[in-house]
Amino acid sequence: MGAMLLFSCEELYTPVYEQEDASPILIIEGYIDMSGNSRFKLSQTVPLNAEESRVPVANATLAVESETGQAYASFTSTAGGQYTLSHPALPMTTRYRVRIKTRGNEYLSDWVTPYATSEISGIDHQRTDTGVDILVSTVNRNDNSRYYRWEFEETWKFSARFFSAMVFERGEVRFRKQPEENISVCFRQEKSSDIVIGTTDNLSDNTISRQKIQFIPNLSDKLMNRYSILVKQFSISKEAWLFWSILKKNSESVGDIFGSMPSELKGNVHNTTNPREPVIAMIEASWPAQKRVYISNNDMGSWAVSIPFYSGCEYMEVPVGEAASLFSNPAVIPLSDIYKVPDAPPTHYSYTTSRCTDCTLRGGYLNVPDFWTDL
Amino acid sequence: MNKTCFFWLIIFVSLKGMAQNDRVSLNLASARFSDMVRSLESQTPYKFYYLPADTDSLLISYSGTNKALSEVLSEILHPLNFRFATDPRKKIYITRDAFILTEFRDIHGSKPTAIPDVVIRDFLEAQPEDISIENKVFEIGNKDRPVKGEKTLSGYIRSKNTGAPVSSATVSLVGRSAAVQTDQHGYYSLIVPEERSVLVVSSVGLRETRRQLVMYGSGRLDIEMTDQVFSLNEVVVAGERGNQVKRIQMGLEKLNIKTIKQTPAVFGEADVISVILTLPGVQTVGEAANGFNVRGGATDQNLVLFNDATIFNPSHFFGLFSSFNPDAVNQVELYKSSIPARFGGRLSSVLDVAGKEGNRNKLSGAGGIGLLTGRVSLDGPIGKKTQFLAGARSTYSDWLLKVIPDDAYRNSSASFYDINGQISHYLNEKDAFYLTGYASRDRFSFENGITYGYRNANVNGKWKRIFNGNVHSILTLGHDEYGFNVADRNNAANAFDMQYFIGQSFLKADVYHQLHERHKLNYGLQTTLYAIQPGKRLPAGEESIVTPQSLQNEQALESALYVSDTYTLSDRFSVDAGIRYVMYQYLGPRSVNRYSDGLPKSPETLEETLHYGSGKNIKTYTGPEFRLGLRYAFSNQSSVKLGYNSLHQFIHMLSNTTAATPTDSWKLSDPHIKPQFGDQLSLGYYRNMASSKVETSVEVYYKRIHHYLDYKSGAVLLMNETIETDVLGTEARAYGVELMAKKTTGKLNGWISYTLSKAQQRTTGAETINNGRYYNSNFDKPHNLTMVGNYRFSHRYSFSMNTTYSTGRPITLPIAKYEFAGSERVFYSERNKYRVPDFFRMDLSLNIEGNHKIKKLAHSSWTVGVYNVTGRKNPFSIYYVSEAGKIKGYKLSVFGHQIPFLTYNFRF
Repeated sequence: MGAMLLFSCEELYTPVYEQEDASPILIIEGYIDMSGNSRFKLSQTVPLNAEESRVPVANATLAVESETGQAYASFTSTAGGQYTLSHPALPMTTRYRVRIKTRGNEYLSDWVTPYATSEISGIDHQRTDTGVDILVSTVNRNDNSRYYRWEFEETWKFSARFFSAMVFERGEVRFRKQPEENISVCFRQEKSSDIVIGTTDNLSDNTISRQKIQFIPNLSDKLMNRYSILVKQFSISKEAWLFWSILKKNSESVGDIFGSMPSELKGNVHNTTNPREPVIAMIEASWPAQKRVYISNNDMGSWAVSIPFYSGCEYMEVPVGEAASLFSNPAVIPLSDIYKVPDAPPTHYSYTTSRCTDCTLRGGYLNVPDFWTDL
Repeated sequence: MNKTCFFWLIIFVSLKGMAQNDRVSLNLASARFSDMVRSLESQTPYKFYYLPADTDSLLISYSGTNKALSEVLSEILHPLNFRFATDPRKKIYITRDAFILTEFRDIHGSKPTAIPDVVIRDFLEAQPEDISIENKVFEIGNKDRPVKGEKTLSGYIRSKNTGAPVSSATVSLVGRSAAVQTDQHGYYSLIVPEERSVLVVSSVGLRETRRQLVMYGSGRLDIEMTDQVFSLNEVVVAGERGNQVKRIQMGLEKLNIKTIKQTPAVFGEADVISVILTLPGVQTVGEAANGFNVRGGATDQNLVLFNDATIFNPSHFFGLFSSFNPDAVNQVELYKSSIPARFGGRLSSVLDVAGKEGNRNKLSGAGGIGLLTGRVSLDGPIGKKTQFLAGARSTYSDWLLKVIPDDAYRNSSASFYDINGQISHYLNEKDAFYLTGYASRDRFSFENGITYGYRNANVNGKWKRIFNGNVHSILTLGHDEYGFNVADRNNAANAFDMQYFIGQSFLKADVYHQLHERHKLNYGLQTTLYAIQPGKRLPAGEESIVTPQSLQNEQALESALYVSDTYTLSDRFSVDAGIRYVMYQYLGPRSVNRYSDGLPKSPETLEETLHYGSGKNIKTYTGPEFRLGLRYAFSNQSSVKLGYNSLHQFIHMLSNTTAATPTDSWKLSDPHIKPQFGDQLSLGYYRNMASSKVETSVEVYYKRIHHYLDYKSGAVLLMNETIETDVLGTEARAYGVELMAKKTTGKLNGWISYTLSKAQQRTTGAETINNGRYYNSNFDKPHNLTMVGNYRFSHRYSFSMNTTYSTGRPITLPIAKYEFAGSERVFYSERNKYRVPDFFRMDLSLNIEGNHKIKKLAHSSWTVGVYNVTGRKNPFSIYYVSEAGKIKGYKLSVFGHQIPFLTYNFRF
């Protein structure tokens, strides 16, 4: 294969497709949360060449129904297609389904068996040549499902290129009140964007051992200060596992040298009047397990950070007398005062551009998340 | 015995009368010019002089008894724009378009002052003893008690130089239309109806030879043929000119190893399968894809035989090379339509690769060195009755991977080798024994710690017994094996070794029985015992928590009886009818699941598991197969043929990728997986044109395949104990028309073929693909145009070109995008609804022979060329990748630019 790949080449390709393949398909994300208040997102497909990739479906009605005859139909929704059904924790002893009405059609999921999952026993990290792997392990459990899916949310604290200790306000340069006036230390959050699934099907125990769920490449600022990952683990049915694995295979690894065929993605939601209409959805009923861990920069030994966003950032100085006129430009931000004469007032201020010290410009937010604990 | 004349330039016209008393009889059917000359020279005192270059591509058909020589010559030559002239010394000069003045004329009453330089001499290519052997009269049988009526002549045709048998040589009698071909051991058997006759033996690359016979009774005659060393205009494409019109078989492609060697191949290694792919009706899903598809059949529906050994995986290096060492191959036959009754077990085709036999006279060898591979072979006699041949080939491609500045490649490695050997022993005139062995191994490992390996191993012994001239039999006993293994060391906790193995032992008895000149019978039996270990996975290393798992072994016995009768009703009409009755038994020990009736097979519908003891018959399938061929000849130059075939296939390759992969495993038919059954109806018209210089054919076919296998989405095929829960019942159909024109003679030779075809399949069960409608198979390429040409500039230089155009293969395309689980993703169209862009490729090569001294230590040649000379990026596949939340579409071409190659070949 190596030799073939040596001679092979890959080029960007834009197909020409038939118009009949262009009608939008309903997409349902979310699961019946056995612990209460299920959340769903409704959207539809768009042509490959469309600008946006997310077209929400609003004005739908949703309900969760149980095989024993319960129905929970009160929900709140947003214009972005987010629906939150209010219901209590549900008994694990019966099966459930989701009913959705939109655009004059009614969609019903198959009855699904709820699964609780085993505890996450540990989330480890392992340094490799290229970065850090995040690995999850579970305790052994005599569970009837040997299929797993993980979702995670990463939160990390990072600093802008330069720390601004001072602020220019009403013609004066003064020290910032910390933490209220901090602009240089931020938090960022990201949800998992890759499908992470695993199975213990061919293992003797139903134990997940150091399953890799995420990778942080070298030079990433996720580990420049402190990093936290909240892992949510679902036990799922084999049918759901197949759905997720096909979805993963279709979008992450189709087209290798052997030409693995894109498989037909069969979900468990159907149009009640036209069962052949494709619907992209796999409704699960789940009581997930979750666990949060922190990784600090000191845990890493050494961790170099390089952020292209901050390239060209410069640390500059201005005499105190010229400060007022310089800092009247809001794109220029003072960093700290500089004492060049011993036992005398500051003679200069250091400064930089806002890009290099205001971390919100890099997509961070300043509020410390509720769960956050520092070392 | 050609005569070459050097040269003259006289334009004038004078045809001197020829002695009218030279009367001749001539009966020629597509004979060469030289045959005509020889025949006339043997009947008259005249000697003929002509330019072979003008006449060697002519084929002459003529029939006349006791006619004047001049009349015969005029009738033959004038329509061809040739002229002839005689001189008083009984010499006849034949020239094209112009006359020769054979007497000096009085010009203006005086003697001519200048006479063009005329040098006439005989050029003798043949050794004198050959001539004498051709003139010698062989008396066969007991002269004192001559037998009336038909007698049988049989024997071996061998090469004089190497002693190797000459297979597919044509043996015929002058003046009779019946001709037979030698088998792979050079054996022939021919009915001789008259006492006095002339036997003609011809074969590609060898000088045609004749024997004068007087047959008093049946007997044996072994004949040696000499190499045609400097065959400037000799045919290299096909040996049997005109035979496509005569033989009953349709859809049969024969390739000589010379043709294979002159066709450019990637990396310059002569390759059997890549030449097969240039033939009409043969497709592949893409370059460097394992396997080939014949007339809409799957890759597992080809029976690939190498000296009767079934090669389960005929590819090396992901299909870059085929399994056959070109120095060990003699000839290749591909049966894609009429499959003789002696073959069975695969639906679509039989690729019969016949190996070379060892040199009988002296130790000789051959080899080659290319950029990626090297090969060597050695053959020779061991004593008087025994010969051997041994060959080996290997790759040293790792250097290529090491020079790539990318760790993923640098830490990868790939290697293969194959070895083959044969010993033939001719005990006496009646008994011959052959022992053949083949072994190959491929191994490649990737940076991610996964190593794949696969191997073929085959051995068989053959006993050929000649009972009398009319009956001979071949008994073959052999064993074939294939296995692969996967070793994953990526993560210590999940490290494992996985192995797969298939073995088959077989016994074949084939009897060839010539009842009389027009009636041939072939019958026999075959039995094959299969044993499969479908998968064994073991943890590797102490830390591994992989559960050891071993799938139950499978065994089965496949037996067949067949009889096939070839009857020539008249010169025009002949029939070949065969029947093959097969019985297949799936045998214990094994546990077999039983599922609820009428419900899809799944773990939920499992009712019970039945256990069968060792050797217990679990399931039997039986059925007849019919093979029928009809031929009607309109003339010597054209015929029409009809063929019908039905076949069973009890062994299935489990694969759900577009191209075959080395981890595709073979599965036996069982109570759930029914045998595949296919039949094909074909009709063909064959016509030879331009004095048989050009052979043309049109064949149409329609083919059906039942119980074909497709798989549920996401099915895991390896280590799957209940594969029946993951298969989808499928049926397939294929139809098409194949046009071919082939020029077999002259400096320029080659073929052009065009195929218009369709290959489709549909699911038949409750679970469907594309809602149960017919959809295009992966290898459906409606248009396919191929041109293979060779031009020989001189004895030493020849130029070859191979051009292929085809419709792009079907593909399942993404049609929409959406966001799901945090990433943008794509939604795919119905299965195989779209196509990749069309395929076009042109390859060029130049073959340079070393000098042509006959006696020197080693003959060498160079092949230099360029694969994909236009550098077209033919897409193998189109795929979409989700990278950090974005979706990008790519097309992947396997050989995306020009690939130059250089190979050095030698033989001694």
